[in-house]
Amino acid sequence: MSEKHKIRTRRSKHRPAWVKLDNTAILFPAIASREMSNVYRIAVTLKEDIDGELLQMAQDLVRPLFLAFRMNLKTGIFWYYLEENDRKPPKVYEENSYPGAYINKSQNNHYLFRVTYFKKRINLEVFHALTDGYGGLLFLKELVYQYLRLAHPDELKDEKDRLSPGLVLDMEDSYVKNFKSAQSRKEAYRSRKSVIIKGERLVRGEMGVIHGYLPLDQIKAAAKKHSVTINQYLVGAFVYSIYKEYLKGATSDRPINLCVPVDLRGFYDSHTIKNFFAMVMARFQPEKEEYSFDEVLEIVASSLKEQITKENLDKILSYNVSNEQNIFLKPIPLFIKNIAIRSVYHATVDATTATMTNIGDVKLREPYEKYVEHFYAMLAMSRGQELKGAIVCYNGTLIVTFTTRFSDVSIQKRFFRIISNDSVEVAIETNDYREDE
Amino acid sequence: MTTEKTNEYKRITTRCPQCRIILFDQPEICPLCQCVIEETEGDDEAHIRDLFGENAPYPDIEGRRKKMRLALKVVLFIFVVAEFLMIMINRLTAVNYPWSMITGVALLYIYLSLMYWITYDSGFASKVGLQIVLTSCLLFAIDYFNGMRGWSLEWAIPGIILLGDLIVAVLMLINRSRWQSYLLLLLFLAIFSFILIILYLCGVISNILMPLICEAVSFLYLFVMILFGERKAEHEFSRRFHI
Repeated sequence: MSEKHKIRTRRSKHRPAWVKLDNTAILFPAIASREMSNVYRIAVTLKEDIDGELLQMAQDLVRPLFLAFRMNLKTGIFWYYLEENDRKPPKVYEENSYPGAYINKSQNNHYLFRVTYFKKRINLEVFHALTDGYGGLLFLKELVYQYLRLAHPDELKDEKDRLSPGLVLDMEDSYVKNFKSAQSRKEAYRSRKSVIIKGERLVRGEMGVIHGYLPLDQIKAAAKKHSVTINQYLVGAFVYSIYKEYLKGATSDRPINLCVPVDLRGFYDSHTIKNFFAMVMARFQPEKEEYSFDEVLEIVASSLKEQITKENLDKILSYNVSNEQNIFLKPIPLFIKNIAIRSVYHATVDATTATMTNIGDVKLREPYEKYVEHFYAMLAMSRGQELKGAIVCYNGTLIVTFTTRFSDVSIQKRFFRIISNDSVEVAIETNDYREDE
Repeated sequence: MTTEKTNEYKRITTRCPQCRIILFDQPEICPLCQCVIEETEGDDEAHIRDLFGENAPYPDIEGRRKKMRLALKVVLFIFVVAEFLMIMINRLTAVNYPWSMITGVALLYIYLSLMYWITYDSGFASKVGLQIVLTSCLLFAIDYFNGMRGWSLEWAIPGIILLGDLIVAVLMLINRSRWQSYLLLLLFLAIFSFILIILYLCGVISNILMPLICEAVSFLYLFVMILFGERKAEHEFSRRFHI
């Protein structure tokens, strides 16, 4: 029997499942647009060219098993919600847009993710209302396993056309589950205005990508030399680069606020594949002339340490969920809520300078490891933040990817030079976006 | 890394003498500092390959996405020029009858409809719903520029609502597995009809016949679908109205 016939379809007459959006996801449909897609990309490169047909078959195998990925965004009277989508599977096609491009639901059979490929790379792009990087990565890994199983039937003959044993596909709303109403209604975020990076932009619709390849052992040693973690080191280097290249090392009455998403699963014993993260801010306010890198690093590391504690995360979670649970806000019609969400969002965008996220260290199952070269993560732009960083590590190589709409790359240059000066060998690769200028 | 293996490698990297950073893709200048690059040595190349593996180039993104935007701009330009000419002709030929306003509203209607159907990312039901609103606005505007005799509110807009009911029926037949997804549009049509009755009660319109037919059809249609749709209709409403 051919693989196509083995595909298990779930187009039954059963009542389609539906779920409410989680606390973070509520924001994304309200603010999503072509300019601010709220779509992130996780990509993987193999050691061989990708066969589009096999990738489509792999997607058709994996997608029906992930309820979270066969969802359609629907508009209710009071809230958006996700409903099971029984339309034809979305097409896998060769990459033809910049990373994180808006997902047009009507042109994607109403699915909220897309799978594309180019040469050796497979891209998974996900609308953030579906899931965060954790969920995206789970899906991509299973997609890669199935693709490789189809591409190497002899070598991987013992592998099955099913999801990995032990995989948890829990779809609980961990925000609500871990919400403690008694915590406080007090604001957990300080929404003070921060430094906003401005500059000459690329042509509308274009997105610049710079990947920095860093050997994990060397970056570990560099972070250790400064007595900080790898995450603190990279976030500190990013903040210092903004300070030196954008503020030119001068004092500023506004702080540099670098938004760092924190995966809450480890703090709350959750395995949900819905969104479950909170934002903390790495803050640095230059109050005197000429800070050294070590001084900035120390300030940033202590700012992150202070905030990434169970107590503070409890506070953030409670503050966020308390707004959603407010009995006076719940019955307000969605179109009014959307106006309010948009205006609150736009009023607070200047509280963040940039974002840097860390997907973590990706581990693959043993028989598949040898076929995979690298993993990458990329963030789309949002209002007020036109430079973002994303980190992912696989098989001893840590890749920092900067996505930007600015033509100037001096912040990225400073960032990689700082790391290079710490005896880390750095290789970079771009998407050649500057050639069109 | 052995020398034999080194020789097998095709050169893929260069190094920036300023940044001391390795560059994949062999660019002629460093994308970070714009410095002219230097080639890597054979051993260096092997070491880099060992350390970082292979890179992953990106496709050259075509200007495809720009074509649609350009087409809409061309349409807008043609419409603006056409309307400008209409206003001029109207001023020169029939000063007392502003027919150029009607053509202007019609062109605006066509442009907004095009924009909405081409660029707006929403389901078919909401596109139909907004098209009904746009068409009603167009009819009202034509009536207004013709001396506001009230035919739009008394006959034309109710007619559009009835047409909307018919479209919903066709959509439900075509898309039987998801018929319930059009219930909200049906509810919208019933509310829209009710607004016309309120306008009658407020004395804005004098003929209640069509608004009444319209309300009766929309309401009965909705009632029947809820009654016979049973759990599917119930679930659809519980999702759409969840608080």
